[in-house]
Amino acid sequence: MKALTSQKNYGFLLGQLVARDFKTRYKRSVLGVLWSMLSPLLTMAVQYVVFVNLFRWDIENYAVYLLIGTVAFNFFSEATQSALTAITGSASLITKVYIPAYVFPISKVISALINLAFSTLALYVIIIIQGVPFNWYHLLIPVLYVMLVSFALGVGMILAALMVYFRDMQFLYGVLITLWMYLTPLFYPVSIIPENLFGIYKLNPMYQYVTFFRTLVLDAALPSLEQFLFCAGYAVGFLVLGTLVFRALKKKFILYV
Amino acid sequence: MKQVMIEIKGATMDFRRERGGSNSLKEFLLNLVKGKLHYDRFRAVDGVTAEIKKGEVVGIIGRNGAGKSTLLKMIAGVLTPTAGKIRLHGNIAPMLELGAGFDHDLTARENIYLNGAILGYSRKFLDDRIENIIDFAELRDFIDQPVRTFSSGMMMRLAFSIATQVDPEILIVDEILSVGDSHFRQKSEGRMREMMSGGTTVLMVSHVLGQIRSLCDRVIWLDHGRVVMDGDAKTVCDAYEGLIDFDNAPRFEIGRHMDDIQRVAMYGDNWLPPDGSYKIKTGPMGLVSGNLRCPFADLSGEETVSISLEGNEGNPSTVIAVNEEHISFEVKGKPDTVLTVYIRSNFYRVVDGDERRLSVVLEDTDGN
Repeated sequence: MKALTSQKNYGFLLGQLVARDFKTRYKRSVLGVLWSMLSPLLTMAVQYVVFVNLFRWDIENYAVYLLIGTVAFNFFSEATQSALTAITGSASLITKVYIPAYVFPISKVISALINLAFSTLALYVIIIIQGVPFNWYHLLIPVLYVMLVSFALGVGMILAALMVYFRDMQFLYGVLITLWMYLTPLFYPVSIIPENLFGIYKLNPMYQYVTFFRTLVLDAALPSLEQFLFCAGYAVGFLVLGTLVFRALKKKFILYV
Repeated sequence: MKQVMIEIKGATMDFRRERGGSNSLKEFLLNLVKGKLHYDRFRAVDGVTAEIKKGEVVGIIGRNGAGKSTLLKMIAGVLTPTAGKIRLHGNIAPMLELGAGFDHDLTARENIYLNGAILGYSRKFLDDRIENIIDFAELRDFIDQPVRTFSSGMMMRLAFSIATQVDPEILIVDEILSVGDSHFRQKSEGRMREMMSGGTTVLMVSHVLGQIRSLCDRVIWLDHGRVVMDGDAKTVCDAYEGLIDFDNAPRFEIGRHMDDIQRVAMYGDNWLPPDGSYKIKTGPMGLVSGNLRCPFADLSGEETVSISLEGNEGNPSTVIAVNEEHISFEVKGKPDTVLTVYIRSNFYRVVDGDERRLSVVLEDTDGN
C-alpha cells in the first residue's frame, strides 16, 4: 500500500502519541510534570515505611534493595498493562485511518520508559541519601534497561493482540500481574525461597532482571554469565515471539476492535 | 490513454455479524469445544470492479448500507479486502473521518500536530503550514485553548483545515463537505475544487446528490455491495433519483399474505437483485407466494420464464400469473414452519428469444 502516510517514518507520530500521553496525564493537575518525579518518590517512601516496620528482613541497604525491585517491576507492570489496552483503546483511530498497529503498543512502552527514567532519578536520590557507594558497574544499567524494555515490549505486544480477541484478558492479566509481583523478590530476600523450589523460581524473568540490577548497584559486581544469558534470552525471545504473534493477529484487528 | 490510478478487481468485504454475545474467553472456549467457531457473515461489498483514471472525479452513491464507506476504507487501506484486489498507483490522502484522534484535553495547536501526525504529515510540513491551518479554520483567537471548550462546528473547521493541507495524487473523501455554517461550507467547497483542479484523482461519497452532480464527472452507484451502474454523472444520478421512488422500483416480493410481504428492490438495466435469504413462516395452509415485478422489462410469454424452487421436493411451485410486469408464483410447503428463501441473482435480461431465468430456492429450515 503506497499511502501518503507510509512514505513518512512513523517516528513523528510515535513522538506525538507519547507526548499526548504525557501531556494529558498531568494537564489538569496543579503540580503538573513534577508528579512524574514526585509520585515514585512518595510511593517509595510509603513502601519503605511499611516494609521496614512490618518485616524485619536482614537485608543490607534495605531501602535501595526495595526500590530497585519496585522501579523495575513498576516499569514492567505499567508498560504491559498500558500496552494491553493499546489497540482496543485506539479503536476509533484504527477503524478510520491507516496506521500500522505496531505504533500503539510501542508508544505505550515508550511512555512507561519515560516514567522509568524519572523513577530512576528518584532511585538515585535514595542511593545518595543512603550512602551506597557508586561504582563503575552502574554504567551497565542502560544495557539492563534495553533488555528489560524489549522483554516488556514483547509481552505487551502479545497482550495487546490477544486483548482484541478476548476482552477477558485485562482481568486475567490484572490477577496475573499481582501474583507475578509476589513471585518476584521485591521486598523479601531471595533466601526465603526453599532450595528445592529455587530451580523453578529463578525462571521468572522479572527475578532475573531485578537480581541483575541489584548485582550492579548493591554488590558492585558484574552479573554472572548465566544471569546475563537469562536476561538477554528473555529479552530477545519475547521480542521475537511478541512480534510474530502480533503480526499474525493484526490483520483482523479492525474486524474485532 | 490516461494512467490508471486505482484498480479495483472483484473487491469483496465480509464482516462478522455479532450474534449478541460478548467476545469473551469463556464464550470462545465454549464455542471451540462445541466445534462451532463460525459467525454469521455479512457481505458489505460484493465483487466490485472498477478502474479509476488520473484526474477523474468519481462520486459513489447508494442508499445507507450499500457499501460505499466500506469500499472507501478498503481503498484507503484501513480494511483489507476478504477477496479481490485493490491497487493504487500514487499517494493517497484519505479523509474518512475528520478529526480522527483529536484529544479533547489538548489545545488546538497541540491537536494540529497530533492529528497531522496521524494523517502522516511530517513535523516540518506542519511547522510550515500551521499558520495556514489556523487562518483557514478561523480559530486564531482560540488556538491555545483546549478543544474540549470548542463547539462542534469549530472542531470540524479545525479538522477540515488540517485534512486539506496536502496535495495528494489520490484523494478519498467521505461525506465531509457539509462542515460548519454556510460561509465555511462555501469556503470548503472552494478548497475541494482547488484540490480537484490540480489533476488530483478524487473518489467521494456523498448523500447530497447536487454536490455529486456539480463536482463529479463519473458516478458509481452501489447497492447491497454491488455496482448497479457506473457511468457519467448525469445518467447515473438521474437513474438513481428515478428509483428512489420505491413503489415503482422493480422488486421481488415474497410472503404469506399481502401484509406480510418482504420486498427486495432491484435496480437498473441489469436487474441486480441482491443475493440473500429471507425467512418466511408458512401459515396453516403452508402457502408462500412470490411476486416478481419489473416495470422496465417485458416478462410476457410463459415459455421464457421458469421459476425453480429447490429443496421443497414433492411440492412444486405453480406459476399463477405472468403478465407484462409481474410473475407471480405460489408454493406449498409444510404448514407452520419457517421456510428460508434463497434468491440467486441469475436473472437474465430477455432480448428476443434469449433465455432468462429466475431462480428462487426455498428451504425448509425445520428438519430438512
